[in-house]
Amino acid sequence: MIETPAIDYGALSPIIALVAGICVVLLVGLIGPRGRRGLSSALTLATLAAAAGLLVWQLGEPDADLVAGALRSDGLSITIGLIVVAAAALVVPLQLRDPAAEEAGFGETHTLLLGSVLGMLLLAEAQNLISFFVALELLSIPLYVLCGSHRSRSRSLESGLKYLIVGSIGSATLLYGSAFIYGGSGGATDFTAIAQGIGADLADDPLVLIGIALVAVGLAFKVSIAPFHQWTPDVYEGAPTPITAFMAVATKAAAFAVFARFFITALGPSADQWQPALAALAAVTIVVGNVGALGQDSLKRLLGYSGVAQAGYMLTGLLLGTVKGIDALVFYLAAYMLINMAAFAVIAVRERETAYGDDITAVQGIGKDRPALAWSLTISMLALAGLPGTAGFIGKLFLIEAAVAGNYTWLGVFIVVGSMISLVYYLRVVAAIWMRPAPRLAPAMAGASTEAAGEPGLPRRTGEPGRTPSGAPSGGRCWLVLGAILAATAATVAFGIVPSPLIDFSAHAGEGLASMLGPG
Amino acid sequence: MIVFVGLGVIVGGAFTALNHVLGPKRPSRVKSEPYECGLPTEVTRTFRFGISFYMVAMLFILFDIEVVFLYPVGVLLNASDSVFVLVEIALFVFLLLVGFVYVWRRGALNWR
Amino acid sequence: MEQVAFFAGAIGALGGAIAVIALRNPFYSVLALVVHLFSLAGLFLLLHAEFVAAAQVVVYAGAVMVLYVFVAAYVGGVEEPLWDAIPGQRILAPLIGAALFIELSIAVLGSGLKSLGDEGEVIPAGFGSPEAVGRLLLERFLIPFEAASLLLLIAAVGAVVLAARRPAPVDRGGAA
Repeated sequence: MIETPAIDYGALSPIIALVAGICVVLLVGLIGPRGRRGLSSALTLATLAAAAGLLVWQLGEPDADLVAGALRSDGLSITIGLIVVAAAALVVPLQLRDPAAEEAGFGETHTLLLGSVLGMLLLAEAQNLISFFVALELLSIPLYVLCGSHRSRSRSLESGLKYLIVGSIGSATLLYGSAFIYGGSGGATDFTAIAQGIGADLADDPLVLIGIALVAVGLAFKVSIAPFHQWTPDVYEGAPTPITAFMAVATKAAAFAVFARFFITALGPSADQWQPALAALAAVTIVVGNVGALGQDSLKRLLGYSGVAQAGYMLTGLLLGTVKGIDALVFYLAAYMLINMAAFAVIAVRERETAYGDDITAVQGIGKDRPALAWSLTISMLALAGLPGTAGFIGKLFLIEAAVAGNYTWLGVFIVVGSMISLVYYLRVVAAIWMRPAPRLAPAMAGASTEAAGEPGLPRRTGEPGRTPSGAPSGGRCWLVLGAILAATAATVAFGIVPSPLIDFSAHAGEGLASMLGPG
Repeated sequence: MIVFVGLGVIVGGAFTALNHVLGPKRPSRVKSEPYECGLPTEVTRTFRFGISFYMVAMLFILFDIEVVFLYPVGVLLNASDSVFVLVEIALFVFLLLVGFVYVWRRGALNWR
Repeated sequence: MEQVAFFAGAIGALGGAIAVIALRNPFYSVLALVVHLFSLAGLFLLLHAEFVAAAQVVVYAGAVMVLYVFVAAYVGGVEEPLWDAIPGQRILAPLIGAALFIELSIAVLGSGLKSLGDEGEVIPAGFGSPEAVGRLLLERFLIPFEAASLLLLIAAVGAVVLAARRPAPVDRGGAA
């Protein structure tokens, strides 16, 4: 007789909504011509809205273990889930005029996007090694495909392949490490059972430690912590910009969630061993990311390196193992999501308007004729640097405060120094926006030259109006994108001035893990 | 044991020989070329059919894995009279059916 | 008997794995991988994981290898190296590999884990059979089980997006 596990449909409802949405979007995408961007986008947004609504509803419900302990719905998973869903919802309008989405088909693109979101939700909730790994793959595989979905651009294919190889190495390392942990804890897969299995006796056993090290390396690949970050700039540069934006933000959020849950819940007994190691990694990451970004002319590469540095800041919040640290981590992730989405959206818009791709030239002198874009990018850059008056500042402040309270003051110093270095390259972008003259080449000549240069002899599908990636945005169609950019920017400033709603939001995360965490 | 081996050899040999004798023979230029691992001897830049093989092989793996998953739960279905188990398996199959419909309607199964 | 089987399997697995990376001809590499995967299936059998061993043969040695052969035939015959070597790679890579090997050896040999030394756990009846695996899939790992089917769905979509021809008027050929 099968002992059927108890199923809490309420707590599972966001996941069920996403699964249903995936099926509907995929099947609707089959009907009619390929370019049905409106319907597909609307259905995707509806799915995301349903998932978000159900997540908000669950925020008020008590924490629960779901389906034989495979998942856990608590503050951490729900807050991270909301960040991920919000990021995806901001990406969907950005994909409306995306040549990659047009080439791959909107139904397909949105299905893959929703699949990745589902993987992230599961990952944030995962509470045993098996669901952890399956969720991680469900997150990654759609992203590999999406990175390479712009098949007529060889850079996109290269980016997809690179991400696939590096991501698989990361997954394999993680799997190898979990095998050691499984053995070391006496055959436990549930996170709490692993903590019991390791206990005090095996907390510094070499077998368990090598498992922890390998899992940390695997996760470091996913969140691009130095020295496992080399893929980040290349993949970010080559992938279609909306996908880069989603990857940069949402993957980080979900991977950090499971990183925190696994290390604090399952590997808590060995905390004294992994804390200094992760602290060293965080310090290296902050330095490598900020120094690497200095000489970058490609805005996507610049944001890639900046993302590496931000991962270092976030790792600081994680490794402290305190409620304050986790709160600061989630606050930072939420702020980072808003800031990065705005920045990448501006890059995507300029990419389609000019011939310069994501080069810094593309935003030179846009202060005059595109003030909305210029201000959004300026505010995003200043927020990433952590200037007061933005959510980025509050996030860094919390991280430093938590680091000091958790006896890692020196890491707080690293964050401050790293932010100072980062000002150099963020301000370079701001200077390009406001102080340089606009480039000579008329934007009307547009994408044609870059697109064709990427792959000579490529027959461009012209003739269908509105399909070409070149050409100025056709008026009203762009309002949705502009609205998303302005909303994200406004939220960045608003939470910088009145941070309390976001503080309350991130406080749920710490509560979720509170029983496992130290005070402070 | 020996009987089985012997039968196998005889049946196999018989079919091969029959094929040889009865099968239609239309020699062509391609067929008479030296065999190189399935590659045409002159590989041109427009080597077109490979991607069809690739597509089918990839989809075959996916549905192969599905069968591997279904087998152990299918074995259990006999032993249990629970509707829940049936629903879970139905959900599993349904999701793959959606994938199948997609692959089919997109024409990925057409041999080109 | 069990020892003999174990060493046969272990030598096959290790030898196959080394041959995969050591051989120059991609076809031989694929064949070596088949040897490796079959040996692994043998090792799974020794661990009383019959179903996993069978699945290993069906999925990996069967289906995945077919795909590898297609790819090797598709790309095959490339004389020049597919990528430029990173400077210092030939020296650094073995060093890092050796370091990892030593670390892992220390970990396994230096572990105080008690069950490593003795006979291991007693295996319950029916362990590794399809029923036992099915029971786990439906009871404890229901979510990963359903997630796996969704993963296959997503993978099918991904395969079509990346590899299928476009029904567009201009066909770019199989260059992707």
